Amino acid sequence: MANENTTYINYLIDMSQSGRQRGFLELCEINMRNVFTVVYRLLGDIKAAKKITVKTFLTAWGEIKEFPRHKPFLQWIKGMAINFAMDELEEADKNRNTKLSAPTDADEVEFLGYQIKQLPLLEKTVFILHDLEGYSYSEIQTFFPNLIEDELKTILIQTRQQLISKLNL
Amino acid sequence: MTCEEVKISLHDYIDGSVDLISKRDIEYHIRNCEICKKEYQKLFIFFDRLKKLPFVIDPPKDILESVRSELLGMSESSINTSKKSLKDTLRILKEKDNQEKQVNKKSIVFGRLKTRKVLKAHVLKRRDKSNIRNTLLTLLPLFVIGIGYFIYDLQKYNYPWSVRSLEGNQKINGNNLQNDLWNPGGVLSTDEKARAKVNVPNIGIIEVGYNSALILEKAKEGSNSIVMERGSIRVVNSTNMPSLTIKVGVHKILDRGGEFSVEADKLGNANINVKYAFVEIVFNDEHYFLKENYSCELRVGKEPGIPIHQNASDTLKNAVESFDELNGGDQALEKIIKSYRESDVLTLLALIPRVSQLQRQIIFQEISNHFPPPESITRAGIIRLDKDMLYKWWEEIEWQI
Repeated sequence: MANENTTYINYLIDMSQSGRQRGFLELCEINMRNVFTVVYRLLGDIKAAKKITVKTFLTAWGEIKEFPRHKPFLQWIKGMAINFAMDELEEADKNRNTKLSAPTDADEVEFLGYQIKQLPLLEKTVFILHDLEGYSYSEIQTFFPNLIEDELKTILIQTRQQLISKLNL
Repeated sequence: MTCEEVKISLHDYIDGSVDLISKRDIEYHIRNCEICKKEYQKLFIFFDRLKKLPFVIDPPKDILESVRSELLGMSESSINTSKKSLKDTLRILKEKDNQEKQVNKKSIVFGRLKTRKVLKAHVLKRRDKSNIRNTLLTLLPLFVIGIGYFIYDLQKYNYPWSVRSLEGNQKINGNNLQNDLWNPGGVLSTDEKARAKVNVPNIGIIEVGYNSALILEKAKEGSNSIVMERGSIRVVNSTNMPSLTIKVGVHKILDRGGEFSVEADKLGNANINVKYAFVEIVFNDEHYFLKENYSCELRVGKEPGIPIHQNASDTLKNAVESFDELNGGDQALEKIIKSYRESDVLTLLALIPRVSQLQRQIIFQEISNHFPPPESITRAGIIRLDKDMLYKWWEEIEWQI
């Protein structure tokens, strides 16, 4: 999914681990768009995505000394962001009483975006991580340790079919 | 394959995760089954539409500022917490001290009424105090030494490095400035229209070429280092004993005085060209030397390439390149031996550790014809790759070329 850390990224990690915020902020800037994108895709709301992205980077700063050096930094920080976003989704699902109304004059791509937003937590996460973020089944499994890869695959196929039927293809 | 099997396998097929045989089976089935063909087309259109979703989403512009201010807030609150706890501790200690003073006062006023027990407690307290005093006196010299070392170490700091524009505007940490100071941790970068000159205290100057990015890792007397991310630099020393290290990928280039240039790409591959004196290259704790008028290639994960003289013939250059690429090769070696000139002898010497024992004997003889080894260097020593002997011979030849 993610590439290896470059010399520069490793240098910034060293700086951050020695407590220098400047180095960490540079890491934030480099990885911001990727992290924000996955969080936004999961939450579908700019304000909530901003909140979770900021929370992710602040948590990462607190845990930077424990960063596993063999891992690509982007993979590590995205993993953290996905977990936070899933918690937020779960909370939002509990409190949500009304369904979002379908956009009236949406084009086909907007309509697809709306349908993805409507998916339940598990289906949405598996679909976004696999089909939009390029995660493998084994990588997705780290977020759902109770499910085996075949189960994840079945969920993905069913989700795709559900979306295809909603789009009237 | 049945239609049901194909319907499930279609997802793997479109993900590109089926083996060749299944792929052929599915394709054959789709061509001959209208229902499955329609299923495939639906999936195809679906993924086509999915591709139109934005690849990345731009975050709100103030998001980085939010992280920055939250981080600052975190460090301030931790300072405040520690200040608060320090205040609390001081307050508790003060209260205790006052209580003790009150007790002592009472003891003095009613001195005659002091029991043996109270007196004993006083003696013990005095003993404690004298123990603390003794400990403090023992620690005092260590404290003084520590402070002295701190001041001495502070004097060794060798920054900031001043940066002046030669053309266009260079950037330091992303800020566009014509003249600036470069501190450790800072990133100096130039674009395709900018060049800069860095004045390195106690060392000399570094000219930074177009499209370069450098990080000042350390600036201290005895150990200055920069990480070269990409681009080109020319180092000109004003001292014979510089202490500058340039890190390119996994290689370290140690400045040994004189003048040299380095060109590096983003991946960590580089070319070093020495104009005057020599440089030392470190790879996997092994040291390699590059003399003036010689150049060599650095490749990621590989030991430095064979050094080549700037006036070497094209035949020799091609043969060395081919030897480096193939990591050996009898034909390339034969061409090198046939086409080298006296000024290329250091190329031959660098080949010795990379060829077979038999070939080492031939190279030994070739070099000896031009520069006979001194008594301390033996044929057997060179053949068994004695590091000291190889270096001594290099030194012996280096000043004669």
